[in-house]
Amino acid sequence: MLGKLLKYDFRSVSREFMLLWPAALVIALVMRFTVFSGTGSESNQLPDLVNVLVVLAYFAVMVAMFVIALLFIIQRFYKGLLGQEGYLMNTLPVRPWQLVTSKLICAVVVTVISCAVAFLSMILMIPLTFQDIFNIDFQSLWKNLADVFPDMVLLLVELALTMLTGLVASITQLYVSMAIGHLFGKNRIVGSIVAYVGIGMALNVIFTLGASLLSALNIYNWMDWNLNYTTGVHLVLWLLIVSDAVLSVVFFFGTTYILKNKLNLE
Amino acid sequence: MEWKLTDDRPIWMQLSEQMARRIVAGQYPPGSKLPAVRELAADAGVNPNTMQRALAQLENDGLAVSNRTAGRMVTENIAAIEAVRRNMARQLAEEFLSAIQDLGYTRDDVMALWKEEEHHG
Amino acid sequence: MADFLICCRNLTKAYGHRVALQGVDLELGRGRIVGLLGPNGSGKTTLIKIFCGLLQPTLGEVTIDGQAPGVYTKSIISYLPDRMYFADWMRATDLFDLFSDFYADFDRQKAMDMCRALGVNPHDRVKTMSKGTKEKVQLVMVMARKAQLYLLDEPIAGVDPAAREFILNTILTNYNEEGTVLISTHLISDIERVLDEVIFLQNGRITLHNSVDNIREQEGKSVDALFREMFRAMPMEGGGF
Repeated sequence: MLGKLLKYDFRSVSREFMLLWPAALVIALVMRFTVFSGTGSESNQLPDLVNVLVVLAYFAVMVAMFVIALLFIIQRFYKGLLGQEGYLMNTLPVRPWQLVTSKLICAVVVTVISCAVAFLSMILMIPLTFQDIFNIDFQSLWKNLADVFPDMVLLLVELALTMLTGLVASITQLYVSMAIGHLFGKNRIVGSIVAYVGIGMALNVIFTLGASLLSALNIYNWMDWNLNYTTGVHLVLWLLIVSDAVLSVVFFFGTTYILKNKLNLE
Repeated sequence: MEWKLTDDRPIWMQLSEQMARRIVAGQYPPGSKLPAVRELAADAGVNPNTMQRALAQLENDGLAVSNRTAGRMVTENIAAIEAVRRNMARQLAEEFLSAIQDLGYTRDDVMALWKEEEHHG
Repeated sequence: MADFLICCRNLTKAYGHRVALQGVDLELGRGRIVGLLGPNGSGKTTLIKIFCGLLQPTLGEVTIDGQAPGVYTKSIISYLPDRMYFADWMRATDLFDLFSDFYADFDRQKAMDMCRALGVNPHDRVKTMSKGTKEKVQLVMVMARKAQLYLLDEPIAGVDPAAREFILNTILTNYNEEGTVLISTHLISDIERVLDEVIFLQNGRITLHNSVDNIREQEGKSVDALFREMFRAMPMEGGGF
């Protein structure tokens, strides 16, 4: 059933972004051949004003892409499960966790692709020829990096995990806030915002308390680790991964609990 | 024949009467198969359960018989149909007579009126 | 199979201070066409939404075919809501695909046939359709299932008489013998003859639950006439909403 839900949710993704993503890349390419073309100033025949406009257009598209992605994530959940469409989705013979998971996967994919598009567009802007790309000595680049960070691969995996859990935690925080907000009857939107801010403040308090507790206990001295630079980085990353994962789980099940036991579509 | 349903009595009674009328009038001849409940219900725009009840009443009245294989048929007992027909006619006659007597006509006046009407008609 | 298709015990629903349903006890059998009648704000929609799991009761319990609302009950309920519920960039055929995917009892061919009979082009985008056409699409989706329980919330309000006739005919010819149809409405005269039984709902309570024939026999008048009398004699408290 989850697969079928994903099929329909991804149709809305493609409707929303199938133009936007390529547009961002195309504008980046346009910039590569106008604003950034050639190092010599003679080869740049376009007046400055046009350059400025192209740059502005690029930033506008980038900002729009992330704003639209955020709105999309919020709307697909709010409208799709708690609004009119909720009448359809919540009467399908599927479990609430499947509904939420499908929305969540879509949201993650939209964010990841948007970031990838932004990254790719920046690369596209750099006026490299294919020749240049082939000439990059990836091997020695990697080797140099590996010299500085001996466990490069592990570090990259950890970084990816950190970003992923952070992303999932942020999205599920939005979801659980909207789910809580919808319990407020007529003031759903206000309720959602209050819930979101409230959760944020609660987390702040918890983390501050946790941090001061750790330092109060002087835990770093107890552990008597020889904390070199890299172990410290690993430790911090894993702390982030675990705490975000825990938050994600709490938010996710909070959301499905509300959808299952408290759903009130009025 | 159109279905006529009024508000004051149970629908199944009215349906049953109108089916009986169709049978005595020969629209459904003796021994013929009656349309399916669903079909009749859709035609009359009524609930199939209501039509079912109306047809069950027809069976009670001896106008229809249920056959396990062929479904529901009009009875082949012509005497039974004739009896119902006679009954209906008698009822109509009674209603007519009581109505016309209310106007002050005697039986002889009625006969005279009848002949006159036949002339005109 | 449970004895009764729907069973409610002391079903109560409050929205804040406003009580929409108050201690509703109800048993409904199979193969019936039931009218859920009451003025606006009497709790009809609330009751139906509880049956299909869109609302949670404040108190009391409900079972559909012996089970609390959940995945199983949703798979046997075909629900026509009182509003449009699909994204309007879809075509009717997209919606049929969706229903085919999720409901094993959805008959796509039947849906296409019903569209043809209704003069709806299923390949049109929902966005370009008139309100009446959208309602027809939604009705087609609901009636092309072979469900055990059809919950139709105000299917005939706001449509023209021809469409109303068609809707009633669709209901009569498409529901299956095992299936029960629950129709909520405040326009009784149009549907009285298709109903087996009626439930009168007033201020969140069931004030009458009887067969149409019994009511006519006992009262010597139509359900419509009885309804008008009852609800004229007792004006709604608090004005409803």
